[in-house]
Amino acid sequence: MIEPNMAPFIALAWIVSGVSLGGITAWSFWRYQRRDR
Amino acid sequence: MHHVRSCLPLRGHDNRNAMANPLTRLSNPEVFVRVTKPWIAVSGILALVCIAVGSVIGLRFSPEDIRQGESVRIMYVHVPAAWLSLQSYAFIATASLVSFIWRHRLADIAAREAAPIGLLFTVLAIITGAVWGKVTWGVFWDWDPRMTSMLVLVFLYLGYIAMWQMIDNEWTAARSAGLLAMLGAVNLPIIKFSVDWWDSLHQTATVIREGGPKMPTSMLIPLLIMALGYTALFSFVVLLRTHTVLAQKRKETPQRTSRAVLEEAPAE
Repeated sequence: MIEPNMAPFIALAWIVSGVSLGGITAWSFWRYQRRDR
Repeated sequence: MHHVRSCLPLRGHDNRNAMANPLTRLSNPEVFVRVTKPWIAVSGILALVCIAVGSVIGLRFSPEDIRQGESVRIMYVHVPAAWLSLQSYAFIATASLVSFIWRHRLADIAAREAAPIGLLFTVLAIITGAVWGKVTWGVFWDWDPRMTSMLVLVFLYLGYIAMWQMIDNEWTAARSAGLLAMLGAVNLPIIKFSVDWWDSLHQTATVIREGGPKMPTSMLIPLLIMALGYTALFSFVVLLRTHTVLAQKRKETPQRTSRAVLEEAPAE
């Protein structure tokens, strides 16, 4: 169980990592899908 | 029994030379696309599975630290990002060296396409480190040797990307950016050993050290799973982006072989 006072910090680290890495991956994949157009 | 070596259909390319060295063979864009295409799906799936599994174990099943408590869980996103920031830069510097020695144009393209995600890993290592630092040391930032050398790495990435953006001639850009990448590689051992050479808030090496890791297995496993996931994600993104660039170059000049397109002297 994650202590309540630590939870926001842990969540912040995960969300920032997930959103940014997911973003660059999605952007690269989107360009890859359109590469022959 | 005598085997007849089959010749790969390398259009517009010297087959004898191509067969001699695997790296040279792979530097042919058509061969590169064919050989690496299956790895796109493999690395993508591996990244997804490892990051999902690593996150579940890291957040739910790994133990809290006796001194840091729950905040130690930030390690599972902070440390892999930091490792990959160095690995990405090492990839760029090595590809630049390959391009300098063998003039493999594809190495320059792969290096250039690795830079954005390398920069992102570095920035993520700093941001997640700041969050972790706030809860354990009480500060978001300190001019600690490792943090400072990581900040230098951010500027090296920015300089490398800026060189590609600023210089119109692709060859000149590749040479200049590649030179910066190789010279900047001196920062990698500085980052790695900064915690041993100077007094630092960071702990000394915990995983990659003589005598093996000094971390409980219950923490080491999710950390290594996440690191494998981040490495696979790096491969996935770099392959996607390199394939995209090659397809675009091919589309621009469909009558030429893709290797000829890469090797063509640029218009001044």
